Amino acid sequence: MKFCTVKQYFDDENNNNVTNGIATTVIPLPNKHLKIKANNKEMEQYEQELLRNVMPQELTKLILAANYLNFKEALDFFCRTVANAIQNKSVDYVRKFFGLESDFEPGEEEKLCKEFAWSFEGVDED
Amino acid sequence: MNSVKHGFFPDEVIFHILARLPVKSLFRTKTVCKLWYRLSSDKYFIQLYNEVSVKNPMVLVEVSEVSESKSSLICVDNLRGVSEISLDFLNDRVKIRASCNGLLCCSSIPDKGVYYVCNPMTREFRLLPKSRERPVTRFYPDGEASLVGLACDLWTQKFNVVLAGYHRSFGHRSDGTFICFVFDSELNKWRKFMSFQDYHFTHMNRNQVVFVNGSLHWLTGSSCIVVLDLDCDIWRKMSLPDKLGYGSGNRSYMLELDSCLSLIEISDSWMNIWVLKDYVREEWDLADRVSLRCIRGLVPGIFPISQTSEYVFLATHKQVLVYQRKNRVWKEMYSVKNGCTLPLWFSAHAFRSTILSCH
Repeated sequence: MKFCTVKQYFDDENNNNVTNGIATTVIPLPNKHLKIKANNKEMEQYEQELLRNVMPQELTKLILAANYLNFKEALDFFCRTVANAIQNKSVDYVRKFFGLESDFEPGEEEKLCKEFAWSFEGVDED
Repeated sequence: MNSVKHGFFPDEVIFHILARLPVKSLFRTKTVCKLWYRLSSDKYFIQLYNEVSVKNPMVLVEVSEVSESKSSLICVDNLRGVSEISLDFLNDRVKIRASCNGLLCCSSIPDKGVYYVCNPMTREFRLLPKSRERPVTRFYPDGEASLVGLACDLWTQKFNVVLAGYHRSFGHRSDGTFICFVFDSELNKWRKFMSFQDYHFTHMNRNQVVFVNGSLHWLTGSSCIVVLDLDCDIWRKMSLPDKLGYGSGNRSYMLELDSCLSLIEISDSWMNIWVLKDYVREEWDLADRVSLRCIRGLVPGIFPISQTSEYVFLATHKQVLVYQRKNRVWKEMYSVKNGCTLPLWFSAHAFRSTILSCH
């Protein structure tokens, strides 16, 4: 069952994976999740809220916590929310979102863009 | 847990997020930085991506609308809705013959005997070497295969293509000799073997082939399952559930359900979903019994195409429907706008979007 790992967490004092703050956000999730599943609109709002208010560090901790607690639905939900948000965005947007920089040689990136030109159709404006 | 970090997120988190991107978006992310470019060739990531996609059932349908002269390929995705897919990258007019774990086996329409294996999402394709020395002509009619099967193993990332048919000399009926050609993707070669059997296949049987436990399975018109064990090139039979209804108006279709063999039985008011729980002992379980009351009018012309433990995709003449097992809700995912020349179920294939390579 989902909550046997939670009990384990409380028993395990030297746990770095899940801080107290995150535990209080992740653990009430099942109930909220069940309530949200009923209403699609609420789900969208919750997703927007998640992306706007939760900073990357928090989101990282949520995802890692869900993974550690083996809470598959929460992991899937958080990752899918982020994936949906970036799936039609430009490469620059994605770089900014993840805090990455291009480390390609000058001509390399262009070559790749040509090779995968078909994947660049239908990208949203920044 | 991998605590290596590039940018704001640890790699582990990035893997999980990218594993949920549609293939087109995933390919775009290859240009973000060198690490992400290497990511989609990373064995662990490929397995993670394919594991995630296995839970998302899809249907690929060839739609030939009356108003347009050519046919288009539609992908109905449970999560992302309907999109159009193009097989233009093959540079040939093809018919999809089999679908397995994200790869398609297509035969060339102008060039008989020419087969491709492709991944329609990544646009990779492989032209298979010819299976026979002499070309297929009307003097050697043991030609167009009756059965076409594609067996793609997600773990080893290897695949087999099976072309099987009855031997028939010019002007004669079948003599019961069943000739089978098997293509091995690793050796890049065809092998041939023969056996004797007398099975009858309908078009629907031929379209629905299931690859589980290292074997390909077809449902025959004579109510048994024909199995080709690809490890030893042996054909054998498997029996159907004892309690399967055999009245008129009862029809059965074979699909996969979460890596198990499954049979969907449709009568005028019920749909029974059987699962082969014990493969070795051939023990079937009735997993679900669904009332068809709310789609009563569609029942005579409805056919199950693809499923997981949560969803069942079905096709009618003009629509693709999905049944959500948890909420017991029916939804229409796609419907043809103008009249179409062929029923959708005729050319609908179970599909999942993986990044399995055909090389």
